[in-house]
Amino acid sequence: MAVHPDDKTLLLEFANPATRESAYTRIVRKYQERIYWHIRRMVVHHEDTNDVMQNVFIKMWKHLDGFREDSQLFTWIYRIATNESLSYLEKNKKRNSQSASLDNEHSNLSNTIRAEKHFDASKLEWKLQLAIQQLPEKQRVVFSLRYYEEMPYEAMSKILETSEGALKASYHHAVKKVEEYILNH
Amino acid sequence: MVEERMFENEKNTRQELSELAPGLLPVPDAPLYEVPEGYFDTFPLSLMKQTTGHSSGIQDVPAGYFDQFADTVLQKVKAGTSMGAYPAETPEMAPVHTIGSPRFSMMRYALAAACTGLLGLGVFQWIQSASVHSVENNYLSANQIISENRYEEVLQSISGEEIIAYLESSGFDVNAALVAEAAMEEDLPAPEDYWLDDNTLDQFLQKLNLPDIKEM
Repeated sequence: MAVHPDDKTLLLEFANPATRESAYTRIVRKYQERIYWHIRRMVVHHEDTNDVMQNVFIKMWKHLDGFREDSQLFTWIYRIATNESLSYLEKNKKRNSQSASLDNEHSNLSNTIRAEKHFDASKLEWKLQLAIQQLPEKQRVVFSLRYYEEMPYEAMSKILETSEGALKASYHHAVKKVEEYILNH
Repeated sequence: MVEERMFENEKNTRQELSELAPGLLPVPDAPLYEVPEGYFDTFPLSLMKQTTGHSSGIQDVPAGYFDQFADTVLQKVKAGTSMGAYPAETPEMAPVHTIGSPRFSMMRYALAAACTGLLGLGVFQWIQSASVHSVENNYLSANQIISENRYEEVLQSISGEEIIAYLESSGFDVNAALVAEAAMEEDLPAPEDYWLDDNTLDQFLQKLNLPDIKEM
């Protein structure tokens, strides 16, 4: 596993014009996989994930100068990634409704999962993926951060700008819905 | 590829999950979805191109420039030597010719470059390894080869081992030539990769698995 410099060092290097680009690349390398999977679980398709990834890191490049160090860098990047993913899904939803598609967004994403190379409907891990797509988008984010990334509610609260209590309730609802889906399919 | 986890919160989340939904699977060790191979290696570079307009802090060199450089120079020298002057127009990039065994083609480029330099000094020492023993004879042989335009023919007749021995005795970086010979240009690690990670070049050399590479 690659060892990455701490965020404070990277931010100092980014502030220096001579090391700005290399610091940026290091930040991308440090966070790209986590951010990728966070987005991919939301938008499912790799190409869409790649589009959102680019938007996230281009925004980071543009706004990192204004980043306030009273919050953590990873919180800030996750917040951008979450907002970009939700906004991407929202745009897709509008596009689909304009094109008079009969499929709704959930079934589109489920179909994308079913089209995955190693998809096996009998396997629980794939059922779990399908179950997650049935969740409302914000619940999906909460479930993903807690279940997959094992993120403490405190960090999630900073990313999603929601109280810890509300996040706990949201996660509990999400887990119950996912469990129910798996039991019935 | 196993996803890195950022938080050491496993006990809390698993306990919470087992209380909420005992039947739900624990987090899988590997992601189910496919990611194109090498995606995470190339993503930072493609992103850098979008944000800054270039891929790294160094100047770009046209693809294949260093592969063809020795041959280009050699052709120009040969033309200048035999005709007494450089041709008025020379092609911008000469085609690459592989001489003899492809295993040692890069070595031959290095040798050709070395000989080109030595021709200018009037010394053609590599002929020594082809059983010519006196400096006087070396001059004669070299002049004869040049006048008969047999440069490529003679170069082709020299074995790989002789080329390595000569290059080593002349202080040339044989290891670099071997690596260049074995590696495809598109496989070479990006400069930004080996600037950021000291292990990149070591891993690359291990991947090439050159049996006769010397300790660098």
